[in-house]
Amino acid sequence: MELHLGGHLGYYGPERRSRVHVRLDGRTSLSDVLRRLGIPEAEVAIAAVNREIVRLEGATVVDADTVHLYPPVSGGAHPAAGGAHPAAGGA
Amino acid sequence: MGHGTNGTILRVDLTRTTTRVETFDDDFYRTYPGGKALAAFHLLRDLVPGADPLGPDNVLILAAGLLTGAPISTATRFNAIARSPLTGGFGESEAGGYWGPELKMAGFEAIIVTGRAPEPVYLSIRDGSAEIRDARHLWGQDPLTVQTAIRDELGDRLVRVLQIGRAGENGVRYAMIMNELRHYNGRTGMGAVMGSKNLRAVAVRGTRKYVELAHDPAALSEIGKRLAKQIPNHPQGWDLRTKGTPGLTDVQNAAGILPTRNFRYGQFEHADALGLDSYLQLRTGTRTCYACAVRCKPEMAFSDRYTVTNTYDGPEYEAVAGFGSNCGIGDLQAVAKANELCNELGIDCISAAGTIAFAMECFENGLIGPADTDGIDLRFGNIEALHAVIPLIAERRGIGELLSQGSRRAAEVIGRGADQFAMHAKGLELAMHDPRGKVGVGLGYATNEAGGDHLVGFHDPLWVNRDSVAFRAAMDLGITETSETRDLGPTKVRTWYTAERWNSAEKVLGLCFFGPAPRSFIQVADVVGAVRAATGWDIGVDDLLEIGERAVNLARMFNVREGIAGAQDHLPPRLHAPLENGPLQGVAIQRDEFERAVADLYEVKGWYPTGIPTRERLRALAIEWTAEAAGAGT
Repeated sequence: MELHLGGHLGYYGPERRSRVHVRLDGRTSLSDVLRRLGIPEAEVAIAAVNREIVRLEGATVVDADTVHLYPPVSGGAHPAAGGAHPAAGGA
Repeated sequence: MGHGTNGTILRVDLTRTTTRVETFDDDFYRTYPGGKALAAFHLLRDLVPGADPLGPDNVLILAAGLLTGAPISTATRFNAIARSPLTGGFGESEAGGYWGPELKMAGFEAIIVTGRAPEPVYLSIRDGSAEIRDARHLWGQDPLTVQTAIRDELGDRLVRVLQIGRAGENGVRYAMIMNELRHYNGRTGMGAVMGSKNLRAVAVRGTRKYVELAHDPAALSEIGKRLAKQIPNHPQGWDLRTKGTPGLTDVQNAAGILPTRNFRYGQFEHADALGLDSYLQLRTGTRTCYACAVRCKPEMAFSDRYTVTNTYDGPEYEAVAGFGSNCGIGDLQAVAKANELCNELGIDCISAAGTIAFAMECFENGLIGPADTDGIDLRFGNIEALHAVIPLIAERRGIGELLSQGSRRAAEVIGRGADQFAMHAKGLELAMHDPRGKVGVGLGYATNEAGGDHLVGFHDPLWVNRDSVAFRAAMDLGITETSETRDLGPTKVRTWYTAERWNSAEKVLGLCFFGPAPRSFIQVADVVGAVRAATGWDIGVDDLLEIGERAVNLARMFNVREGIAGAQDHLPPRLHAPLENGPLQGVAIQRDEFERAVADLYEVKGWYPTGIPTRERLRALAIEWTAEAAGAGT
């Protein structure tokens, strides 16, 4: 799995890298991947699997996936934290 | 033993060709400790109400902050403040670099410039003295030539040069001021004010050190050294040093709030070409500001499809999104070229990009045509058109004359509904942050005294998760309740109120937006500690919040006096219409909900429903005198 760590999430990546290759055997919880790498979920504002935004809670990934994670710096939508989907938020 | 100030201001009358030094006492200093507060006081007191922003009566104030020049990372900022020729209201813009610290070391807290020189001049300041010098030979020259010539004339390579470019000379309403070629007071047209005074440059050389001014130099130095070591070991400090602001492009696009084609869309199909990976391929290095260990300033030089030198600052996120996605251009080299043109000509990148995107949409909708643009096909995505228009704006030639006025005035001239495409607040073009995905930023755009500025509070994603680094740091400000990014309820309003006061305090202290928590690595206690070490004051965070609030209210009272208080506290209509693509497709800011939040914010601030501060609030902030100065019904 290719993991892209945006903004200050790269600080938590192995050797402070913002691009990480993670080998996965079968479908795995994205939260478990983050725990394994030591990336705090509280710093993840946006998670996207293969460019589709997902909620971190309950998201699963496989080895062929590309995952982008972004911190709460300046981005807007916040579906990764498990809140209401932004497009459904009373617009 | 000092207390963080020289206690002196340099007053320059260019009409009479005179300079004199004023001093202020401790009581004044406690109330107006520097930067935005000091400058706003003088703007309200010294400016003739209703004065033409580009006439000799406007007052240009360049003010260092309380901590500017202290040996602490990000304590480099100074303010340029005057009546804005773009908005007609409170004009302000901050810059880092080396000039602000040098001013402090030359013995001055601020320079107040009035009048208009009969011929172009520059000001030379050296250790407490000042001289007005002939600049006729410098007028019309490029900034590098001017900087080199001034250093040669003064025989000192260490002179710090602040100056305008061609746009400032020509009165472009969003002309900027630059120092050391790489640091910009970009917003609200302060360069046009300087140019209207025939003042091309201010050269400063000082040999004092900040620690000589400090109450407890050892404590101050200890804080500075500790913070410098901390930067690479703090996630937010590490991020700024490693990636800088261009790291935002990817996250904004993923979130669906990357302004695209004049804010119609929130995602750009060529975002990868503008994103961090592409950026790092072009970035050739990083630079820094005085005594700042963050080192976030990008350097970029290449000769490929376009040629860009490293004479000026490389494009920050605002330029990447402004000339990139918002103009429909997915070519980072072209963006860097547009950024360089603006820097060389002395134009604010944000307003330039916003005004050009506005013009592109007008062109595509037939509101202006080739006859208006001298044949330039001013459509989204046209790189040649973008590069052609920027010099025309600086010279106010052809379509550039209209666009040099900014999007609000240009829309009034074009008419036929063009105002629906003008993305501004109070006449200041919006920064590259779409508040449909982070509505607190919209509160800032709408209610900030200077208009559509994004650096007047902290952005909504910081308030979502109480376990995040940012939120935990914000708790030291008294922010304890989380809120979602698109929430406009009472919690968000209260949070914004605190965030704005803290941000304003940074502008009084001379700290960069990318220094203190919650945005970055300097914890609230260290900011308080630095002020205590500098001043010897027994001061806490609530005192700093009050200092920040006073500065906001001074600016507000200036706008009250100029007749543009609450009536202009709104967003451009497009933000109340849905985004047209991306994860926030269909999302808009509900007008009634937003207006209620603005009303709630006024109440929290102690203002009338009209957006005017109550006399009680002004009295509590020790600025009741501004009610008389404003002649307002407060």
